[in-house]
Amino acid sequence: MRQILALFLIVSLDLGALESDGYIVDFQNDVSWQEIDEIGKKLNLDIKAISGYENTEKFGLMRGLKSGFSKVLEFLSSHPKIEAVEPNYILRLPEMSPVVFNVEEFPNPDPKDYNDPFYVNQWHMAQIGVALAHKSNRGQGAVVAVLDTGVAYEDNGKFKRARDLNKTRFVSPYNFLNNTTDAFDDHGHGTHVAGTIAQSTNNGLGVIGVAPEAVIMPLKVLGANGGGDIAGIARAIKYAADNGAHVINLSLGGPMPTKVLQKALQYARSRGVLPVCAAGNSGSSVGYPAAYPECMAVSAVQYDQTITFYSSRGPQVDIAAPGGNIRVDQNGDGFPDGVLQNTIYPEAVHKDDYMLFMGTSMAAPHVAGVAALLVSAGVRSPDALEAILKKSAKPKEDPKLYGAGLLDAHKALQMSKKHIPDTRWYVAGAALFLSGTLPLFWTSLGYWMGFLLFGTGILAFLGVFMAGDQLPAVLLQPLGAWDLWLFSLNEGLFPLRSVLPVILLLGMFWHIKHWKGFLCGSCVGMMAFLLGEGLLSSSRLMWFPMEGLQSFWYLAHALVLLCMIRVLFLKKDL
Amino acid sequence: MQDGKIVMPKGGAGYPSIGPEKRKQIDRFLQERGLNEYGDAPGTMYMGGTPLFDERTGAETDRYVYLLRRFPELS
Repeated sequence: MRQILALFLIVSLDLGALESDGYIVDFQNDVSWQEIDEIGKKLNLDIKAISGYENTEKFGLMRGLKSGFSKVLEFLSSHPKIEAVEPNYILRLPEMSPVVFNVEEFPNPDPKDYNDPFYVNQWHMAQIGVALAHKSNRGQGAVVAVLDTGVAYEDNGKFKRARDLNKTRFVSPYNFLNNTTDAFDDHGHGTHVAGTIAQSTNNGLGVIGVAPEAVIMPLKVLGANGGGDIAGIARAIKYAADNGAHVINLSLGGPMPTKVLQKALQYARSRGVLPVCAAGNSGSSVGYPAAYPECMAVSAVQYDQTITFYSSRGPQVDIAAPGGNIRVDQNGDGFPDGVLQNTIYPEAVHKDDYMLFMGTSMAAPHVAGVAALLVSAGVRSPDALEAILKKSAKPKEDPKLYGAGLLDAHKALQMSKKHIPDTRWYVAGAALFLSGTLPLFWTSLGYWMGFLLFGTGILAFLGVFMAGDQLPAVLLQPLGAWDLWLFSLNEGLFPLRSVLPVILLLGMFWHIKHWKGFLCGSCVGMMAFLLGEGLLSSSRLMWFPMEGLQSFWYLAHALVLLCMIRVLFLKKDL
Repeated sequence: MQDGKIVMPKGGAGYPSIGPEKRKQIDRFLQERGLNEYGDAPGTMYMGGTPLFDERTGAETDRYVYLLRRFPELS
């Protein structure tokens, strides 16, 4: 059994018990040491010069001050050559408390799971079971709006795309500080948060994300100083809801309640969007907007799955997720236990590296990422998303600290299967029905190949038994969803988009008699897919921008396919 | 071959205490100007919910020390 010794190096100070060693006097820079001696002699004080690397700064240490010290301090404080006089506090680290951790009690990253070399330091991904979850789902089709300091999402002038976002997809960026479509990050916070949600994964670089195939909507609402106003944030929430986001991550907050923000959150929720909010880093009560019932408030735990010292707490906390603690190294990997993602340097926004942050800001995007996985699995409503996230959480003892418990990505996905039936089985049912109407093709191998390829994925049944990443997606996923592989959300909206591959196949093989079975099977498979997905409101077709008109779009395309099947039947050479 | 590196966080520092009279003076200052507890307009939002905690370094700042730095006229 491997055991490691982890030392807590807590740098916080007990101010009530501070000791001091005399007083430190900060002189103006143009004062000579001779003048300082004269001031000391005048007051009968021993002021010793503190010298070191400073060329200009002049400090004196004053000891032995006993009687009448308040008058002396008053005199010194008002002296024109003195900038400040303060007790020379002695700052000590608390006694180191050696704690023996059995790291095998906690989940740790297995480097075999991904080829991203720093994944081994992402204990936080292992803590929520991301690797297991990725065997069935990686967030395809889900859109997560990141309301933050922006994201390093593309090369543009002095701004560069962060290297480990190279495969991540982005949609509809907007900057609510200057009302432009350039939502670049000038701080680093937003890029780190976006990375937790959808860092490019298995790309041979750096680190992984929770839902790497989800699409990020970068919305800049905080400036380089980390602040922003309610008006911008409320507008951004509405923008996200109106532009196809399924989840909104808000790693921000403030001390005061605001009706404007709550109304915006209610609007988002009514549009089927789940807002996920950082509970706050005050160590006391939950801030706003996290405290609103419309938000999922997320508290932060560290490696040993206990609440962090900084995490806000209270009855509003809905769930706990890894937020990290860079003051400890409990897993003994040689790095502080922060949340590790790729982000930019604030002082050089064109440069990026892998940085360890800690905060409820880091915990919230873990929850937003798992919500994206659930959306991709077909869970639509924010109420259902929240219910599954909470029910699947690992129970913890104190709900004011942990809410429903610790986030569990794998269990959440497993639980979603009970809520959302796999549409492929509906498609298979539709196939049996439709095939009965096509006796000419019933025994055609080409027909079944076309049907399976477009309707269910040619080896879809294997997906039930095998890990999703062991076979190419094209074999497991239906070609009916081809457009989601090619286009970003809200892009490429044109008539007949959904049936384009079938039309191309018909054009290419119309005159070849032996292909008729395959063509007919493709049409039937595609039609079954569109009907199944559209009528069941599955997530894979949620790219359509006009909510409410999606069913008409799908039915119209299914009708086109029906016409094609009819034309194929009427062909004389059949 | 790895591209990039893990950057170690910089440690936080302690802060001196501020007496009750000074605290009252600071609170009065904020109240008179209609500012929030961090000296900003009431609707201001912050990364992680507070400007007193730096998520990049783990450094914490006492609210009154933070306010004295922001408003030197209070010193």
